[in-house]
Amino acid sequence: MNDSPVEINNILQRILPRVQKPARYTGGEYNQILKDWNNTKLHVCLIFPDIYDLGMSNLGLMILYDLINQRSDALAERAFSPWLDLEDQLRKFNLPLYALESKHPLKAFDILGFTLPYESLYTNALNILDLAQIPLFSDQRALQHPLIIAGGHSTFNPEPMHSFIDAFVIGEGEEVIQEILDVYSDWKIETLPFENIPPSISKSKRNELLKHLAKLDGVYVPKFYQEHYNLDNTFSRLEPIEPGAPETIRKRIVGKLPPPPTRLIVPYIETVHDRIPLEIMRGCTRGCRFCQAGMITRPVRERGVDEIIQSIQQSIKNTGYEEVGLLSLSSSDYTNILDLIHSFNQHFSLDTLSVSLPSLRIDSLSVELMQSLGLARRNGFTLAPEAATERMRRIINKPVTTDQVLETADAIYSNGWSTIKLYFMIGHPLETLEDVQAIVDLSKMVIRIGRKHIGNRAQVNVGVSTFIPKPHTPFQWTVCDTEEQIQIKLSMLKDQLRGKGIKLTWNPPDATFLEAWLSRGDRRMANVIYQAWQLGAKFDAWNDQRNLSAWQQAFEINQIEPDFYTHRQRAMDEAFPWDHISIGVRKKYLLQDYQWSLSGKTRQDCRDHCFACGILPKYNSLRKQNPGNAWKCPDVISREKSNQHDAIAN
Amino acid sequence: MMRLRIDFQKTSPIRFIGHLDLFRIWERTFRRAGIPLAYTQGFKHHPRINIASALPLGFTSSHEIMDFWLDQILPIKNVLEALQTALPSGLIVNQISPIELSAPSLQSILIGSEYQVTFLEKIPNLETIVEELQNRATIEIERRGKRIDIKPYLFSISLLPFDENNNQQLFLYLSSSQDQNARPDEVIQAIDYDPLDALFHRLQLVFENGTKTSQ
Ligand code: SF4
Repeated sequence: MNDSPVEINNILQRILPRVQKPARYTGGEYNQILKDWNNTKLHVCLIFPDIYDLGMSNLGLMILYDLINQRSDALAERAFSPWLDLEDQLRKFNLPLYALESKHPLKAFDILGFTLPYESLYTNALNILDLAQIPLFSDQRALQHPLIIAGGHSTFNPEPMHSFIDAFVIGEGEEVIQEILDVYSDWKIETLPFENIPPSISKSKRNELLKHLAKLDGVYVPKFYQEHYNLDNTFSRLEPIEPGAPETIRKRIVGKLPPPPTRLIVPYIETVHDRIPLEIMRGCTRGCRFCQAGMITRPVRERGVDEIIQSIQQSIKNTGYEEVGLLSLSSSDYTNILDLIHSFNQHFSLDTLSVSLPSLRIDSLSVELMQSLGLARRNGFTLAPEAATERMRRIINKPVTTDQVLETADAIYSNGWSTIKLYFMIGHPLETLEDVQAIVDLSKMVIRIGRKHIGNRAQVNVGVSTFIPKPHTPFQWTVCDTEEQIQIKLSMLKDQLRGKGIKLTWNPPDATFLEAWLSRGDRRMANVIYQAWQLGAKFDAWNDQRNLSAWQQAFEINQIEPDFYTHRQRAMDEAFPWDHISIGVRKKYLLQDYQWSLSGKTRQDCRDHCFACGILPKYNSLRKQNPGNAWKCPDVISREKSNQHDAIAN
Repeated sequence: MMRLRIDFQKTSPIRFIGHLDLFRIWERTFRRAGIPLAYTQGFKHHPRINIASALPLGFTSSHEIMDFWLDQILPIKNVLEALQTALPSGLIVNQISPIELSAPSLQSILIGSEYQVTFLEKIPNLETIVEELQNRATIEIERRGKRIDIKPYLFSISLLPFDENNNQQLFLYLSSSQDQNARPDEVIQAIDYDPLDALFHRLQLVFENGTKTSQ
């Protein structure tokens, strides 16, 4: 057995010279935290199931790493998917997948925490369990196996992964992870030792742990629920079958964003976002109807300008990074954006610290912001109208006018940028071929503006993705385009968006469908995922690795028609497999918003006008504890206070 | 402006870092240390760092040499102390010394490198193989699709005592000048041994006028 860190390390030294980028697998980076294994009670390994180069840019993982390692009774280490070359070697030497810090095998940890921000990581998660030599199915695991938990945006529909994950963490992890560790810790003391326990007792003791976890707000333990289907195979309901398992699981949020991590691990090799990530705000009030992130991360909570500046200063000191990313779903909406930029320029020299400010609104203010940040013009300026006609933009609730797009493009080209990146989606509900043609026309109008200013240096890069009706959005009732429709639309774009100064990139339809099946699936998808993995599917997020025929075969084996999930218009009253997950926004509100969209009715930014989406009653006490401007929802006035108001008024 | 020469070790895990990554790692180390590197002028600013010789990925070294330039004059002791607090694991500073601003570039005075090669798999009659290699008129290897003779770049080869794990070891002294050079793994390939089954360690760099980095 090659199971001790020393043995693993010895074999690794022989293996690593044989793989690409071996520094993905060594650990030891600056700011890594390596604690004494034997003197620490709880061992957690945080896992991003794709390669290191991507995973090290995942902010959620870094936040939890920081928080867990602050506890004296716990340690957190990291693991990622090995690339194919290392996987071959691990399998050849029968070496279990290990954590980067201590080189302990994953199976020696108490808890493995997967971060699943998107669905195309699912087969990789299975592959990691397999490489870790841990049973894939939750019901096959016993006391000696780690508890497998998962969180992240894709787990807002946890059902497709319900067979593999012991407990899902729905929503923001900062507080609930502490509660999970506390529960685990108490249970562990009661239950030890884990060795030499008869299988039946072992399982029931593990069940005890899950029962405790199911009581935590925001934790979903799928094995305590039974699903029911209608005769037509549609989903009917999910029934709690364990006393204490709640009917609905309300997502967790933090009332106030905790201090951002500043002691970030500095990778030896370049990663996709090789910079300080600084979240300036969480949530979004815009209400674009296709956008799952915008719906599930409500309410908007902002960090203060001073806190942001201080955190950046601290992070530079601790890491030596030369770039910071000011992160949010919609940077221009940050209330004090001008103050922030002003303060930023006062504290930092742009010669030595560059900054990126993604997700800007389409208006001239954005151009001013980018200019005052001296942003690297060679990177181009990104605008995301998402649709090219005003009609379509009203349907998706991104009501910018075409004039605004063109005026902004004008401001961009006349201020020194030579490249504009335009992002669109095809396949929106009610889309016609005219709307697609408009993508061509609008892109050409933009390039003409560019040529007017800078001649042939002007460049437009058009990125086109395909709409997916994601759970918990106003569009969850609608359908995906068929492959045929997508191909027709794509070829319209490919035929016309070519030539000098124009570059078109698009998502392949198979990537779209896979993401759609996995995001909309019910419990029956679990076996499809398992089978697809067995047939060789992994790295599904990689266009050169995705194996669609494995997926098609997996659907066939399970006698499931994939179109059932993606090409079937849902009745207004249809139950969804994710209805037991509450995002705080009422389903009725989403439905109303869907109906509004069908009649072209837009909904303004709810910062300016609260539409009572449901967040405030759901998180009433949290809002009361955190009054004032940090939240962008209205204050809730407690009863006594409003009585006082009345008294004064009287 | 101040020019400093640093003599450092490269060990695990940083041995698995390539040459380009190493520049970025040093740059961030200096920034953490609060030592203001001078930057090159031009479109994209680069810190002025000059590493004498690229160490191939996977190799360890006792003495790598790098020059760097500072915008201000600082006591060397302070620079050293600040760097020590900011180094990532695997980089160890042996020494820092001041260098004339006008001194020639490291590359232009580099002559050769001394290596220790450790064989993780047993090689029968290593002694005869070494002798045979010494007596060959040419040692042809393939480099980027071209066949070249590295015999003129093999200054010296000899057996070393076994290491603590009883592995056979070899000493190599190879030319490292800008256009006449050989790598130890190329020599090892020439004796039909898989370089992936060997450990390569650079003992020191040899510069014109005979200075060795370890002196
Ligand atoms: S409660 Fe009102 S302000 Fe808050 S997210 Fe919902 S609609 Fe927007």
